[in-house]
Formats: sequence, C-alpha cells, structure tokens
Amino acid sequence: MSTDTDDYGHGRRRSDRAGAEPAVDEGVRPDANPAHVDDASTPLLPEQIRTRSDGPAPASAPSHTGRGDAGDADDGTPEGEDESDASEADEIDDPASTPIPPPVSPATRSRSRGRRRVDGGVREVAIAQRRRRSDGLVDREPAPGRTPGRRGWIAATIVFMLLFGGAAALDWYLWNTSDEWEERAGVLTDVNYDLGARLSSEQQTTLQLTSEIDLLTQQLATSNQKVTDLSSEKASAVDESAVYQQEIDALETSVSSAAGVANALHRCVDGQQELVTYLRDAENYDPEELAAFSDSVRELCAEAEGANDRLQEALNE
Amino acid sequence: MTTRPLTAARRALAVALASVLALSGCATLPHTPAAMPSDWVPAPTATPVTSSVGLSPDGFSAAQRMTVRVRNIGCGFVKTGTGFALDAFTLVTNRHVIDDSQDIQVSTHDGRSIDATAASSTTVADIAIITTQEPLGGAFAARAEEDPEEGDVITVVGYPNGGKLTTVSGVVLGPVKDPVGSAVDTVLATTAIVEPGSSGSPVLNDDGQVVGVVYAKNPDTNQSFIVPVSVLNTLLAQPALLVPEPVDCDA
Repeated sequence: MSTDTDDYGHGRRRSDRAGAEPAVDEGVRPDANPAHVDDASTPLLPEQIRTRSDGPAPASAPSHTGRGDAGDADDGTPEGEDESDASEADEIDDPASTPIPPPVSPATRSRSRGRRRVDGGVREVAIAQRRRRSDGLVDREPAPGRTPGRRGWIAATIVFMLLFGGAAALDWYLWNTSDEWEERAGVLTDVNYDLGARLSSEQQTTLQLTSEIDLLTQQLATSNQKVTDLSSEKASAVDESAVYQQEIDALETSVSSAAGVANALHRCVDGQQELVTYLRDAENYDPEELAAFSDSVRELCAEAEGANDRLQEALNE
Repeated sequence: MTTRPLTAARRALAVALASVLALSGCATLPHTPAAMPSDWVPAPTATPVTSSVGLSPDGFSAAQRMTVRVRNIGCGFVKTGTGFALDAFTLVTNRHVIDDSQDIQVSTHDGRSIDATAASSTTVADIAIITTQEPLGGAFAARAEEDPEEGDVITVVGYPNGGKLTTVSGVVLGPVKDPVGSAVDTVLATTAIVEPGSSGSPVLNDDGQVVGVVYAKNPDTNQSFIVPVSVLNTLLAQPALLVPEPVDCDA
C-alpha cells in the first residue's frame, strides 16, 4: 500500500508488512539469495536501493516487521530482538539523531547472521534513505501522503485567520453601528417626546378652538337670525310706514275735502241767513230778485250737502 | 485509509461554505443611520382653507344674499314680493308684483333698502326686470341652462307674506298649463309650499343654480307654479320682449 501518508514512517512500515513475508523467508532461508546478506557490508548503489524500496517485496521490509507477521516468519530469533531492531529502524529514520553504524566484520556477520541480516536490511534502508536525502531527490519529492494534509492545515489556518479577521472587523462594524443606532434611538425618543408634547398642546388648542368655533357658530347663527328678524321688522315697518303714509295722504285729502265741504256749508248757512233777512223786509225788495237769490242759496246748499255726503262716504271707507 | 482525502475535501467545502456565509452575511449587514432628518413637521401653510359653498363672510348663503324683498307702494296700496339679483343693479321678480306701482323699493337680506329706478315687464310670462341705482351687493344668481325635470328636488328662497327670509324645498311635478293665464307657455308645478309674498322667489336646484321663478300657487292643492328658467333666459336674451312699466297712479 504505497498510499500510506504517515508522516513518521510507521505507516509505511506497516504497509510494507504485507508484502514483506516472502522477503523475510527468503532472507532467512539458507538458500536465499546471499547477495542480500553479503551486500550488507557493501554499500548499495542508489539504483539498487531505489529498486528495493520501489519493489513489491523489498528486503528491508521484513526486518522492520515482526509484531504480527514476524512470528510466523521467525527462524528462532527472539521477538524482543526483532522489536529492538524495529526500534532501531525507527531511530534510523531520523538521520539527524541516529549515527551511522560502523561497518561490521565478516566474522561478526557470520555469528549473528540472521540478526545481522535483519540489521543489515535496516542499515541498507537507512543508508538508502540518507543517500536519497543527500542527493536531494527525496526532499524535492516529499512523500505523496504528507503534502495534502499539510497544505490543508495551512489553508485551513489561513482561512481561519481570515475568518477571524473578518469576524473582528464585522464585530467592530456592528458595534459601531449599534452605537450609532442607539444614539439615534435616543435622539428619536427625545424628538418623539417633543412631538408628543407639541401634539398634545396642539390638540388642546384645537379643542379650545373647536369649542370656540362652535360657540361662534351658534353666535353667528343667532346673529344671522337676529339680522333676519330685524330686517323683516324693518321691512314690515317700512311697509307699515308706506301704508300709513298712504293713509295720511288719504286723510289729508279727506281733511281738504272736509274743509271744502265746511266752507260750502258755511256759505250755504250765510246765504240762508241773508235770505232770511231779506225775507223779513220783503216789501222793500223786488220779489223776483228775492226768488233768484233764494234759488242760488238753495243751489249752494245743495252742493255743500253733496260735498258733505261725499266726504262722509270717503271717511267711511 | 480513504478518509483523509475526504476530510480535506470536507474541510475545503466547509471553508468555502463559511466564506460564502460570511460574504452573504455582509450583504445583509445593517447600515449606520443616515443623517437625522429635520423635516418632522411640515411647514405650516399660510393659505387659508377654501370655505365651503354654504358659508359667506356674513354667515348667509349665496341664495339668501341674492334674494331680495320687493315692496310695491302702489296707488293706495302696499304689497310685497320677492326677487333675486342677476347682477349688482338688476333683479328679477314677477310682473304682478310691480303692477300699479307708484314706488318700488328693494330690501336686502341684511335690512338695506334700495329704491328701484325703473321696471320693465313682458306679456310672455309673469316676469319683470327691475333696475336700481344703488348696487345690490351680496351674491348674484347663476342661471341653469336646462329646465328642471319631473322629480328634481328644488329649493325656494323668499319672503312669504312679506315676512322673514325663508327657505323651503319641494319636488318638481312636471309641466302644466298656466293656471292664472299670465303666460303663453307651459309652466312647472312643484310641491314647494309658497305664500303670497313668495312671488318672484328664485327656484334653485341642488347645484344652487336658478331653474325657475315662483309666480303662483294653488291654495287647494298647495302646489306652486314656477316660470321655467328657459323662459327667463329667452327674455334676458331678447330685451325687446320687455316693456317699461309705468310708475304713475294716473296711468
């Protein structure tokens, strides 16, 4: 499983575990390829190391395994040794802290063949790794499993910082906005109270004016009615005046007529008295003249009586 | 072993969603308050409110102000009628109101007396025109173009019995033949109750326009009769139909 992205290599070792069993058997078996063992003391070429590391069954893998599968492939080597070798391999992964072990003599290699084989594999891997690191190939091409995670963390951190900054700016903006709106609310409250006071005053004034308008309307209606009454009374008075004037004119006419009647009656009376005087001394007057005078007095009195009758009729109308 | 790429994708998706939410939140951020407005209360206007039609400076309606009381001081009698002003120096009344007149006087709604200088009448209808030297003042009549129809509501303003200025209402009953024979054309009968002295009263429609002139009544039915405004318009349009009325008892 070459997709293992463990940053510390453990995963890689676990991934190599599955395909390592044939190599372990091969390395332990007497008829195994001695080149692998013998080459422990001989530095491997980079091509060889790359071939091993890239191959499906690297020889170094079995030396690191052993917790689960190593027991099956163990040729008598104690579990603890194998595990200690594995720990050594871990240390080897850290080139800065783990020194490169010195070369081992052939005798030593023959005494501890199996172990050395295992250790030799570890060293081979360590050397290969150091070489790969020294030639720069590995540093320029990091493990495929590491880069996405790191980039993700970096990206997430950047995004988080950006969001944090944005949130801070947003918080400042909202705080400032809230303050301004709070101040505006206070101003508006004052304005509302002021307007309410003015409205109340205006309403009170309106009520007073409305009451005054009602009163004035009643007074105006009363005044108009009074004007109408007075106008009617005046017109009636003028009418009566005109009628009275006509009556006065009629009375004046009647008085004038009465005066004429009275004058006529007075002349009638005077004529009759004069006629009586003449008749007392009738032997002294011409009888024809007395008869004529008597006729004229009679006519005058008749006219006077006629005028009096007309006057009486006029007065009776 | 395939969860890590999915986790990274989820993280990226979460970051994208958070960014979108943050940006969308910015779109709905509240704004700071705008400048404080100062025009809370509109400026009071100095324009006076237009007065209603029925009101006037002296509290009388236009119909009341244009209606006058006509006094005919005749040869040995005094009788009254009603008229209405066409303009400042001309008024309309009935012909029989100014018959046998020796002096004609006009009284306004507010009690002013104005002497008439001339009078003219016609034989076409019981209509007379009086002119004055002194202006009548007040309001003037607006004549309607069409005669009222049957069922129309009318208002009569006049001085019944020579008394107070009175307003009565009625309904037009329709055209009828002149019951007193003073007109050559048909007249209109109404239900408005009038009295002697109401002769010459203006008959108004709902719009305050003159639609007729009262000239007679039937005491039995309490119906009143009016000269249609069309006849009045015709007379006013043809002054030749008006003949000066003599103001001499000897005549």
